[in-house]
Amino acid sequence: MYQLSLFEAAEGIREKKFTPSELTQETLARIEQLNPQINAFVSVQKDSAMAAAKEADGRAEKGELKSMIDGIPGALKDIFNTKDVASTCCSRMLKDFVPPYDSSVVARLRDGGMILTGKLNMDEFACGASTEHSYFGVTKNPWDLERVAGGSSGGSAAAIAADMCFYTLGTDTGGSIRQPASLCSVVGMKVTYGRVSRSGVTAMASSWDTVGPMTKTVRDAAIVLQMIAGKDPLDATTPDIAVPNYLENLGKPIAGMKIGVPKEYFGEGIDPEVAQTVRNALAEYEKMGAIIKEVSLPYTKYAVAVYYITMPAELSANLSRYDGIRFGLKPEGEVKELIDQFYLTRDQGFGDEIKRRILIGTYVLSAGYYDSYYRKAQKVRTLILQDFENVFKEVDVLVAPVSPFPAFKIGEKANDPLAMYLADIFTIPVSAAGVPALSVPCGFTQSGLPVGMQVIGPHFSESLLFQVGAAYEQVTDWGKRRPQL
Amino acid sequence: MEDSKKLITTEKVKHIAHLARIGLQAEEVEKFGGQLEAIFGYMAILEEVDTSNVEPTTQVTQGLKNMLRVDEVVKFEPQDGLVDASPLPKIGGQILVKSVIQE
Repeated sequence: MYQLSLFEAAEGIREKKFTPSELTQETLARIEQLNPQINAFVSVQKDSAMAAAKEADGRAEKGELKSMIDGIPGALKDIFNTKDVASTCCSRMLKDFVPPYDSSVVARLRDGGMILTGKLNMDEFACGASTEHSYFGVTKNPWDLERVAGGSSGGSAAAIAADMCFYTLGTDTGGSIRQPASLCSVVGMKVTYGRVSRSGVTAMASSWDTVGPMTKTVRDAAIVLQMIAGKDPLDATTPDIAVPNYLENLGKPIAGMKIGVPKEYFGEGIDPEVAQTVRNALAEYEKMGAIIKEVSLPYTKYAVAVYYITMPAELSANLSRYDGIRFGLKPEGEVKELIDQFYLTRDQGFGDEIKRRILIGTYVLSAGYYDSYYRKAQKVRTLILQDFENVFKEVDVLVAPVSPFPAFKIGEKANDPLAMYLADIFTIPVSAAGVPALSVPCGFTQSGLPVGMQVIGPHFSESLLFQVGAAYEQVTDWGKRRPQL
Repeated sequence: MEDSKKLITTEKVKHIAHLARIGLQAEEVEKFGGQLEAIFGYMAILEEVDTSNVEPTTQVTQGLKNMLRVDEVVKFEPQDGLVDASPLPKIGGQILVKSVIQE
């Protein structure tokens, strides 16, 4: 049963082929069996999961299932507040933090009958592209245990790839859903900025953060997004834009659709196998009748610099609340005055990558530097946004690689922070513009490492992205492959 | 490179760390200084871009401005849950902190 997609599992429950309890029992056993090797889960809530499953059994029996996810085991990146369940952001700072409330999206999933099996590993405070910066150790890529699962939602991607649950939520600020999805051969969506509520989700960079699904198939991602999308009065950045039926366009043909291929994404620096694999996918689209057109996004090369100025600035502001007073670590060492409390808590609570980014952010916002760094970056961000607005006048969607390289070896980039930052070169521009992008598996390298592509569309075009992604899924079967575990 | 010729001097790192309220150890100051030097060296690429007639972007979703709500007080339940999250001693629903004003 664990190999089923979310959709198939829902069907199985509805048709009474198995119960939520049976499904959950098997899932928990699989987590117990595989997690020591993979380290996708940082905590597992066995008892409450089985209790929730039992309640779902009752509903399934009576044919009163609350939603398509009712009774099906899911899991959440540890950045989501879950009531009475530790939510640590995989940082020493919050290792004992138990929130007294659910984030809005978690509340919505629970209302739909979510079975929460556990919380998933991530780079500390979502800062990283490899999950190597987690307080709880790295997550291994199920396709090659010596390699990273990507980040920062590495635990989420690995859990789906290893069939340890049927759906997860991640967050994508500069690529943190798409990149691990691509490295682990799963589906992941970065939604339009503001499409999904971030209330109760620990903030990293407030003008970049998004919440999105990570699943085995495109249809599954649409099912999950349907549950969580929409205006939330608790998140002022969610506009009052209607949520369409995301399942409606799945299976509709895409003949005549114009697909743009941004030339800047296929230049130097991209692994040739990755480039070729994505081009093969474009050939499949052409066979289906889509019109492929080369386009240009001229400001692409400035995106990493824009991101690594504005994101740390916003991060440093968001992380200033971690002072060990209302929540956070109790530091070791003598605290004479209040200011010592801050110095010690923050020195001991934060890992290196966090400190590095806070220092960058504090610097660019400090007196004398604000105009030359932060304000300048915000202006270049406008130019990147305009690149996308312009290109969508010529084409309907873009198809591009997600990561310039497949999964790298654990430790390979640990000593070069800048090299790690450049791993996000294809995902960041999309985040800068706030447009949505769907990462879909599109093949494997000669050595068996997954490659993903992203389908990018205008603001609030998630339906279109699902349609285009699903069309490709229908003519290929990358999603049926499983890692040898 | 000699410290005073660097973009990110040791003094600067210490100053930023103080602003960010992070108590860095000496070796950390040096390590981060070197890394920041390289990182900010890379950021110089933005100087190539002519932004004289460009407005900064602070909000990417179009059209959101002054999102208001009714000013009504809603009591958070459970209130204890909020105070419980603190690692510090609590007295009567309040968190006990070190003194700010010294004698």
